[in-house]
Amino acid sequence: MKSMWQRAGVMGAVWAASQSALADYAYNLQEPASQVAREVFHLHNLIMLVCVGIFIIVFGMMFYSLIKHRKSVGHKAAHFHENTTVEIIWTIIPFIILVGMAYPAAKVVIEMKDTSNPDMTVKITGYQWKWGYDYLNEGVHFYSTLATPREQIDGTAAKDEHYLLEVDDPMVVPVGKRVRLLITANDVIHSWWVPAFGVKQDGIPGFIRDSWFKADKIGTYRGQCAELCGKDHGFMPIVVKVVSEEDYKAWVAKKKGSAQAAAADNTKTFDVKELVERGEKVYQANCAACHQANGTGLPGVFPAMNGSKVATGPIAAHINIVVHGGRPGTAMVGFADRLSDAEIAAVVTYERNAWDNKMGDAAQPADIAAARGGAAVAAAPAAQ
Amino acid sequence: MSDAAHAHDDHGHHAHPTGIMRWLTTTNHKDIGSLYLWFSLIMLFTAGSMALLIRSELFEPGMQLMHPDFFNQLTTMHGLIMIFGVIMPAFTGFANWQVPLMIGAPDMAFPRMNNWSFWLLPVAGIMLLGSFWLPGGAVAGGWTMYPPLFIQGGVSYDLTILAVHIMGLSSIMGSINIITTILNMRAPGLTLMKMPMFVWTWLITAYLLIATMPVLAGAVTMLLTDRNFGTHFFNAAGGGDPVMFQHIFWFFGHPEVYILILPAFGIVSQIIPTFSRKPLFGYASMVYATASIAILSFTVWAHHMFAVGMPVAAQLFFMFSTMLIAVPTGVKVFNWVATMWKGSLTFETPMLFAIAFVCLFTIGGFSGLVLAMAPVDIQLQDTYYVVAHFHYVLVSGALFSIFAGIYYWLPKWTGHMYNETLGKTHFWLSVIGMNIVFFPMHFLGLAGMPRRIPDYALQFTEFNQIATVGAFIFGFSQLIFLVLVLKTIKGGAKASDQVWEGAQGLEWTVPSPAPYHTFETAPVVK
Amino acid sequence: MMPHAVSSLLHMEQVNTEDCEGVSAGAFVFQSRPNHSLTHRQQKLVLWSLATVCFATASGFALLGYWLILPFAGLEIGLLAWALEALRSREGDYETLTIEGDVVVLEWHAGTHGERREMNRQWARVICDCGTSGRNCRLSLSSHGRETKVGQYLSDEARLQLAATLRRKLQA
Repeated sequence: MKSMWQRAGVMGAVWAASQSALADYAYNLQEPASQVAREVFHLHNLIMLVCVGIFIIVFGMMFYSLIKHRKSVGHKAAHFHENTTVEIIWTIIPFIILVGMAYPAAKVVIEMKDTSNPDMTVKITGYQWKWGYDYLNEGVHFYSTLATPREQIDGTAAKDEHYLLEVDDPMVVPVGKRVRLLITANDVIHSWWVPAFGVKQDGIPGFIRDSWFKADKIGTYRGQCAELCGKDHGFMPIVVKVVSEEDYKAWVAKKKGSAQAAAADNTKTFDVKELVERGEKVYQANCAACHQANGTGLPGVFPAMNGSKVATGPIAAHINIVVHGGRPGTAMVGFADRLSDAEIAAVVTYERNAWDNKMGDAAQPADIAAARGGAAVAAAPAAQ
Repeated sequence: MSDAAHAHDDHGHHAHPTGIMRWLTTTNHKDIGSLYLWFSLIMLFTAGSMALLIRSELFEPGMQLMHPDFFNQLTTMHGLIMIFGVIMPAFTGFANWQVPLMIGAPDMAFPRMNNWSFWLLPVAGIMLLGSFWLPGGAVAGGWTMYPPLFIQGGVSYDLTILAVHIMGLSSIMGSINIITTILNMRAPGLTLMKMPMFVWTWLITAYLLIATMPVLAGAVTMLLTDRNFGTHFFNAAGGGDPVMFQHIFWFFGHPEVYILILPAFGIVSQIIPTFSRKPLFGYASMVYATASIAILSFTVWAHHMFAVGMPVAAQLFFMFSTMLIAVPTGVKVFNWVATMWKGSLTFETPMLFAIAFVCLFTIGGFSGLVLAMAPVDIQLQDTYYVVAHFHYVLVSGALFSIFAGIYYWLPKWTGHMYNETLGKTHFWLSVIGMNIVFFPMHFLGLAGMPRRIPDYALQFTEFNQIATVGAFIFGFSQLIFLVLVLKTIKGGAKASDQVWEGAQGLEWTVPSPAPYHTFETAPVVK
Repeated sequence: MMPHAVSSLLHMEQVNTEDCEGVSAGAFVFQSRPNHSLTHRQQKLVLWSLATVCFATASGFALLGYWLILPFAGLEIGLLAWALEALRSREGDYETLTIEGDVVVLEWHAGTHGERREMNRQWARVICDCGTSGRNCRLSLSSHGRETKVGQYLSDEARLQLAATLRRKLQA
C-alpha cells in the first residue's frame, strides 16, 4: 500500500510528462487490420460524433439556464409547462437520427455475419486456460498458452513489452485470405477476441459458432479472452501472426513435422528421470495454474498434488483421472484430447516423484494408451 | 434515520417494544424505511471497500495484493451486493418513507408483510458475505452467474443461489405492498394522473419487479438443480444449452436495469421542479415515457449477448429495439432541461446531485447508445467500456439520485437541516472522484482491456492508475456523507414544515420531523 | 396482524359530523369507513395484466424445456391475488353510530366480523383515554359493563372531537 501512495504522489508529474508521449494514451479503438474492423471503427466515430453534438446542444442549453436563470441573479420563474408541439418535436427528431444510425449499423452486422466462401477454416477451442487451434484443411493441431514467465507476473522480474499478451505457439494465417473460424469451448464459456480484426465470438461448450476475418497486413495481432472463465481468465491471451503465403506454407510443413515426432514418442519407453524432466514442463504448462508449481493447490478450490491420495495412491487411478477427468462438476477435465500419451505419462510420473511424493514409479506411454481405451471405469476416488 | 423523529411517540396505551425488539417487530412505514436505508448504507461501505481492493490490485500491472481467484470473488460480490444490497434496498427505503407521505396514506397496505420483506434482507446479506469464509471462498463466477462456470464452484455457490432467492422474495413482497398501497390508499381526489412522479416511477418499477422476479428465481433454481440434482438444463452434454441461461437471465436482467433507474428518475423529477420553482415541464409525457421504457425493456435483453453469435435477424431486432429506448429516455432528459429553463434556480445539495445526475446519466445513456450498435458492441462487449457505461448509469445515475433524495427529504425525516457546507463538499468530491474513476475506463475499453481481469498488459497502465486514484477520492469522500447524516439526526438547525421554498406535495404539509403516525385521516386533494 | 397493523391497514375517511346532524331532525348519525381508491376494475386489471405477463413468459420458457420458472410465477401471482383479495374483503367495512330518542345504535363491520349493539342513552357512557402522550387515544361507548369501540377509522384529533360531540349528545 505504501508504494501505492508514493506512486500516487508522483503520478501528477508522470501524467504531465507522458502527455508528450501520447503513445500510451489511446483514446479510440485499436487500429483496424481488416475491412470489418475498419467499418466498425468508422461506425463508432460516427455515432460518437452524433452523441457529442447532441450533448453539446442539450447541455449547452442547460448550462445557459443554470447561469442565466438563477434566483441569485434575480430571475423570476416562468410558469409554462406542457407544450405538445415541443414534445412531439423532441420525440420525432431523435427517432429520425436513430433511423439514420441504424442503417449503416445494420449493413455492418450483415457483413460480419457472412461467413460464406472461406479460403481456409480454423477451429478454435477455449480451455481453462489456453486456446486450441485445429487447421481443418491442413490437419495442423496445437495449443497456445501464455508465455509470460511467472516471475514477471509476481513482480520479481522486469516486464516485457508484450507482458501478458505473449503465447508459446501463436495462430498463424496467410495475409489477405478469408479465414473462417469455428469457435467452441471445452469446459466453460470463453470468448475469442482480436480487436484489430473486429472479431469477438464466444466459445460455447457443446456448440460451434462461426465468425470470419481477412487480415489486410502482415504483422502480429494480439487479443485476450473476453468472457470470464475462472481463475486465469486474465491469463489466456491470443496472438495471431499474419504472414505471407510462402511463410504460411513453410509454417504448416514445420508443424506437421513436429506432430510426427510427437507420435513417434508414444511408442517408446522412457526411464523415470527422462519422464520427470519432461513431465515438469508439461506440468507447468497444464497443471500449475490450479495445482500450483509447488504442488500445494489452493485450499478449498484446487486440491494439492504434494502428498495427495491420488499422486501417492495406485498409479492406475492416477492415470485415470488425468486421462478422463475428475469427479463431474469439478474443474478437473480429462487431458485425453489435449496431451499425447508420452506427455501424460511424463506428467503422471512427475507428479508421483516431485516434491515430497517420491513414489519412484513411472507411467509409460503404453499405459496411457491402455487407459484411453477403457472409459472411466471406476469412479475416481474423492481427491480432496 | 428517523430515531429523532419519534423518540417521544412510544407512550400510547398499546406500548411499543423498545430496543432491538422495537426494530425487529416494527410495522411502521417510517421505521422500515429507515431500516432499509441504513442497511443500504452499510452495504454501500462493504461493497465499496471491495471496489477499493479491486482498484488497488489494478493500480499497476502484475499481481501484488491477492490471488486471481480472490480478485474474481471481489468483483462478483461487489456486483451482487451493490445491486441487490445497496441500490434496490435504498429505493425501497425511499418508497417506504415517501409513498405513504406523498399519497396521504397512514401506512403501507400490508405493514406485517413490510416488516418481513425488510428482515429477509439482512439474512441474505449475511449469507452472501459469510460465504467468504467457506472453503473455496465466495462466488467468483461473476454476478451474472453464467453456467457452466457457475456449475464448477463449491458450496458458496449454492448459498449464493439461496441468498438470491431470499432477496427475490423480499423484493416481491415489497413490490406487492407498494403496488397495493399506491393503488388503494391514495387520498380522495389524488387521481393517478395527479400522483407525484416518484410514486409513478415506483408503481411502474414494482410492476417490472413482479413481472420479472419469477424468471430470476427459476433461472437460479435451474442452476441449483444442475449443480446438485443431476438435471441438464444448461449442460450441452445432457441436451441443455448454456446460452439459454443467458437468455433467461437477461430477460430478467434488463428490466432489472430499469428497476435500478426508474425510481432515480422519480426522485430527480421531484427535486428539479422544487429548486427551479417551476412545475415539471411535461408531466404526462414523463409518465408515458416511463411506461414506454418499462415495456421496451422486455424486448431488448439479448443486446447483452451480441457476442454469443445470434442469427442476423435476431441481432438486427435487438439492435433496433435497444436504439428505440433512446427515444423515451431522451424525452425524460429534455423534460428535465425544459423544467430548469427560465426557472428561478438555486443550488442546494439535492439540486446539485440532481443536475449531476442529468448530465452524467446522459453520458451513460450515450455510451449505451454506442453499445446498442451491434457491430460496435461486439468490439466493446466485456471490456472496460461496458464497465464505464454501467457505472455512469448506476453510480452517477442511481447512487447520485439516492444521495439527492436523502439530502432532499432528510430535513423532513429528522426535523433538522443538514450542514450545507458538508453537503456541498461531499457533492464536489463525489462528482470529481466519480469522473476520475470511470471516465478513463471508456478509453481502456476502446483500447482493448477486457473486464474482470486481475492483471493487464502494460499499455493500459496509465488510465488504470488514474482510475485507482479517483476510486480512493470517491470512496473516502463517502465518509463525509456518513458524518453528515449522523450529525443531522443528532441536531442542527430546525427545519420548517415546508423545508424547501419551491417544494410541492403532501409530504410538506406534515410537521418536520414527520410524526410517527401521519395522515390517519386522509387529506383531500383538490 | 397486530391490532396496530389493522388500524393502519384501513385508510380512514371521515364523514363530517356537522353534515350528518342534519339528516333527520332529532337524530344523530355518524358513519365512517376506510378509504379505498382502488376500484374493482382496476383491481382486476392489475391482477390480470401481471398474471398474463408472468405466465406468458414462464410458459414460453417452459415450452423450450425450462419449466422451473412456471411454479415461481404461480406462487407469486397467488400471493398477489391473496393481497388484492385481502384489500377487497375490507371494502365493506364501516362503522355507524345513530342516536335517536333514547336509543343509541352502534353498528360496525370489519372483514368477516360485525356487530350491532343497542344501548339506552341514559346508560351509555363515553370513555376516552389518551394516556400521557396524547396519541393512540381509545374511544368507546360503555353500557352495562361492556365497552364497544367507536371511531376506529379516525385520527386522534377527530376521535377527540367525536368524543366531545358524543358527550354533548348523550347529555342532551
